[in-house]
Amino acid sequence: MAVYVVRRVVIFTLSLVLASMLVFGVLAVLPGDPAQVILGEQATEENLAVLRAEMGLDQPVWRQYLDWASGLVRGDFGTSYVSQAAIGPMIAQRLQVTIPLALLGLALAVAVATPLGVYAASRHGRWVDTAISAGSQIGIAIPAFWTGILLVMLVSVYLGWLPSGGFVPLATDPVGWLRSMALPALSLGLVQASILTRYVRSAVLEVLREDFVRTARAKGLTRTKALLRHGLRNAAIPLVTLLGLQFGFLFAGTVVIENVFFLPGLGRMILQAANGRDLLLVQGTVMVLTFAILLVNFLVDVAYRVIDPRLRAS
Amino acid sequence: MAAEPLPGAAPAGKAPSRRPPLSLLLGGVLVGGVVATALLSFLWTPHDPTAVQTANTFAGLSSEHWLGTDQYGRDLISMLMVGSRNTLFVGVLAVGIAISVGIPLGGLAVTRGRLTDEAVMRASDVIYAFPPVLLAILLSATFSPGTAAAMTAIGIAYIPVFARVTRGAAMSVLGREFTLAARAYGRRPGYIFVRHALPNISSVLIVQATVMFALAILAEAALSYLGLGTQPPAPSWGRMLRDSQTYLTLSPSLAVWPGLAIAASVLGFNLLGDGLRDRLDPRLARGPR
Repeated sequence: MAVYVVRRVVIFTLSLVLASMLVFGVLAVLPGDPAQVILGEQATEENLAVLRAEMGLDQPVWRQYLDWASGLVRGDFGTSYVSQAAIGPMIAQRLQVTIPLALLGLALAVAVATPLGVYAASRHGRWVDTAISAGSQIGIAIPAFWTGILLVMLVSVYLGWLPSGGFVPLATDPVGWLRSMALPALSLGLVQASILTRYVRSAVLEVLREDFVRTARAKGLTRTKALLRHGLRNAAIPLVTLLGLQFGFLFAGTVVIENVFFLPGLGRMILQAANGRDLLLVQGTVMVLTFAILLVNFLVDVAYRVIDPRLRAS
Repeated sequence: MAAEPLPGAAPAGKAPSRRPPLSLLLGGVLVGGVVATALLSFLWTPHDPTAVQTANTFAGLSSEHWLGTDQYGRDLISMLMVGSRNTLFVGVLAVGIAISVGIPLGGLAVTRGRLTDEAVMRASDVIYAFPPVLLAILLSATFSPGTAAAMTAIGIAYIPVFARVTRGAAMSVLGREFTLAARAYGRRPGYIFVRHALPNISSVLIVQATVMFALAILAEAALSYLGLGTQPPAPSWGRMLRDSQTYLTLSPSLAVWPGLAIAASVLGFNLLGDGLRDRLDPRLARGPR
């Protein structure tokens, strides 16, 4: 187990280095002068030279990368060219919106998908199963941002129950915070729930075919009891991996959803940074999001071994 | 005396149905509809999709404008028709990029030994940590946002999927006797991969490409919604939804039609993928449905 964890840590670290090279490479090595991009076509040669020196663009590329990457390791993301503010604290502040949104969306998805998927599997082949499967198939086809727009139309515009956008900090007003996060989390969670329902159903169906469930039934347990006592724990193993993989999509989803509901999270900031050609801010934010996705994948890989004793033994 | 049935043959009266699965039919109809609409839009649309008519904004459903008009008086159905063209265009090129890089990478991983395999798979993991929207933002920050940046981003993001699927499927084929025979005959691993493995895993790749096409449509719509995809005045479904958000109280239907178009196309490609999986490779048909 220890060897496995060490191996995963090494792979995780190498992945991070590779990802940082990619993020840096896309913005630094590709044709085009960032100083020119920032200052525009009308910039004078002197202004361009000053900005290049300021950004370290007159240094060799490897030197620029090392400066940037060593800054990241120390938690120094540099300074935003547009706002002149330190990027690290900006990202930390925005994460206070993005992380709760992603977690709420995930919690909602699990809360909806688990009972639906289990119920569909337990009624395999009947009309309820068909209806749930068809519903999740349609749910997967609906973009999260359209769900958001439709929810705003129904819940905010027609019913007037919840705000259509904006953000209230948790510390200021917990109820207001929940009201401002409800529709975004719902938009994000429903699509994830559709994907997850299919996998829960499939995983439970798979487990129900296993010998130990048949043995449990032969010992006198009802189908439901056998499922709850033996089936769910076993079905949970592949689902943990799936949740890890979905995390990336969930974070990507927050980028879009934050823009639908005008939430001041990382997604909204990165888009504004891209539009304003604030390259260092874009680099820093993409790196943080990629770090989060790689970290979750790493944790899932390790958790997989901890949950499943069969893998630990091998 | 009746002839004994061959071992493994289907029991009498229970011959496997040759009728295509419902998902294949439904998917085929939806995808066919989108493709036909896109092709038709080259020849004919009810109105010019970019023609602004300030006197006819937010018009309702009528015989003149079947789905009404938007805030500039542009004909909605004409915009949707031309939008389908952009959606398919981005999908084809994005999936094309992913296939043309992903399949050779998967081939390299499976034929060039453990070190290459490990390197390709780890690199795939890293690319996989970049969702299309992040890649598109990265590319848009350097170049101008637009269709090219969007489809490149989506294409790159899906390379690992094809690399992994190719590697996994080819691995099982390369262990079979006919490939061992080819190796014994002195064929090189690359030749065996192209001549023997690829034809045998083509059905898996076709199914994967169909499913990825659906995801590419969703990604393109999201990018256009964010302003990172197709740029105006070219109509795109995602951008139409973005514009509709400002007029939700005035004209809610503006937010309905483009969303339905996206959902119908994605559903169509997903169903087509499921149906093809059932038809082409029954061994895979036990996956989540």
